Amino acid sequence: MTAVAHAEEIATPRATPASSLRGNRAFVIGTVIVGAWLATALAAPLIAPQSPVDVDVMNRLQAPSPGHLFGTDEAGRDNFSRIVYGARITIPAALGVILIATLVGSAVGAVAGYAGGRVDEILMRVVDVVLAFPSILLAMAITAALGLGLKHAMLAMILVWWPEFARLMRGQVLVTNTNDYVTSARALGAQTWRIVGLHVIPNAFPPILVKATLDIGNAIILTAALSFIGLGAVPPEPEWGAMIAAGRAKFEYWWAATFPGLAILSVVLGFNFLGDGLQDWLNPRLRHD
Amino acid sequence: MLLSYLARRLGLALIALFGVVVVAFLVAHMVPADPLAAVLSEHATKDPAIREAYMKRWGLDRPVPEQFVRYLANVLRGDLGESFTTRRPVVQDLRQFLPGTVELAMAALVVSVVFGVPLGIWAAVRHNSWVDHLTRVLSLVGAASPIFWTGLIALHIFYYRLEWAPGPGRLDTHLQMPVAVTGFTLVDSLIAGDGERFASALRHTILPALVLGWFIMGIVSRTMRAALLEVLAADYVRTARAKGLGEAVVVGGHALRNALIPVVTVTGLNFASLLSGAVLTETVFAWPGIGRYAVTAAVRLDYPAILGVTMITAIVYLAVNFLVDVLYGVLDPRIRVA
Repeated sequence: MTAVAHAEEIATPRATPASSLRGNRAFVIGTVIVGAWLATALAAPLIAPQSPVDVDVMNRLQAPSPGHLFGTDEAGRDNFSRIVYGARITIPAALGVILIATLVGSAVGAVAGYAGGRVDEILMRVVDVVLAFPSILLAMAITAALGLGLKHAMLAMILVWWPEFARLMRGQVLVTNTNDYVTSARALGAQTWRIVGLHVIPNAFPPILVKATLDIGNAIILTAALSFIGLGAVPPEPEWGAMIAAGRAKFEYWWAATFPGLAILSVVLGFNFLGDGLQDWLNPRLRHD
Repeated sequence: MLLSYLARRLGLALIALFGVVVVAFLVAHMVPADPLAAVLSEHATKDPAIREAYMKRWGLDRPVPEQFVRYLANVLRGDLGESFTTRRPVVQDLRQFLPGTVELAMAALVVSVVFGVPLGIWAAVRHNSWVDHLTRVLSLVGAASPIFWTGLIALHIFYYRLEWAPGPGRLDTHLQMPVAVTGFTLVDSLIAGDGERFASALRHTILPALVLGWFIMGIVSRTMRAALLEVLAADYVRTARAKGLGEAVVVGGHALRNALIPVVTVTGLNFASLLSGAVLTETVFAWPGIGRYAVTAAVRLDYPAILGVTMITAIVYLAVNFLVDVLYGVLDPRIRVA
């Protein structure tokens, strides 16, 4: 036992990426939690014992029981089934927001960093301005302007989020551009697209991926928050934030708000672990402790 | 050198401020819905004469650039329009509700520092002990909890179950808000010499401040821990230890002072996120602040009101960032060049 452990310890520095990932606790925990939630979302009809929307007025606000693991809500709907189906709303919404924000932001950041000069200055001032707004308030204002609903809330979140990726990408481009191998590639007559494709994107990818993963958690919280306020998904849709809002004034029916909140907490923790794990894996220099 | 650094920072802040006004204007003009529908009755919106009169009254019949110039001039004069819901000038509403939010954010800041700094020191001194793990778990869970949910759970436990804390609201229901002098309920009730009101206001502050403070306590304690660990590894700390100084003197006298610099910065920068966290905390705790005002406004599509809140928080954010930049430049001359 000790000998094996010792051998592993010695082997660690030169370990292959895959094996170092297995020893990466945050990554493993994150993968398990996120994987479980994604599986839940995909297999929702198989997992949920009841319909997430069917009303059953005879069984309103029932406490958790074997028949209703997480109790029922004010319309007698099964909370467990609603939370399972809710994974199909909040998680894809957050993934979509972050994916688009990442693509748009990275593109803008790459252009800014590469073009430099005026273009860079203007784009970065735009980024500064959007980042000056507290994201939830700007998202609220945009959603209110566009009209209520989950799609508009998502669009608002994308508008609020892309600048963060633009700033990160620009920084990456600037750093990569000063590398000697990029200078020599340019000296050898490499085209801009070749430099971007072969050097800039591969270098910028790890930090962008880490930030995107960590931001999915924040996007889940913001999606739920907008629905909680009443700007995103609306009941009877089984969105977690909207479910918490429905249970907010019902202190004696604690299960109504508690379980959707735990769902959010667990999936966000999962993405945060995953992001931290990726960070450790992709950027060992930042490895904490 | 310092002056030109400050001038450049100030220039950037002003440009950003202008941009904030542009964004607010764009959002207000992005509205696909009929802007008149929010203020006029259904019958009136169909009457072309009334429509025209209102379009003219608000300058909506003018070209967009001209509307912008007019909007900018209004903003500079401190006129943010009239709220559709309260029927009062938005600036007047903000003046009434902003102090409440600042009061809550300050109380939360105190909570996060009072708990976060000692926890961070403890975690650094007892590196990799259970305290260290506890602070890590606290900050992980704090960062992953939706604050509106944490607030509800706290209310459920401490108000509904244990009856330790009062319910939502700024004061007990039988009490009236004190005459606004500063706008801070705690201060105003003291000025009025009203002990009962002060006690009630204080009791109503504790739970929301704890909920909002916990939200950034994790960041404060992790920053404190990391900074202290770094400083404790420095040569002068080793020298202090080599001189035979006690651990308390080494940590308290030598290390802590230097480790506090990043903590102050991070805490200052997080004041902005406290303000956004306050939006949801206020909603849950029925706290009279701009966050709850903004939520009510957003749900009722009251654009002037929500844009007013959005703009004022952006200005606060820019001001805080500017101050942090200035402090940085003063504290660390190397930054001025960059």
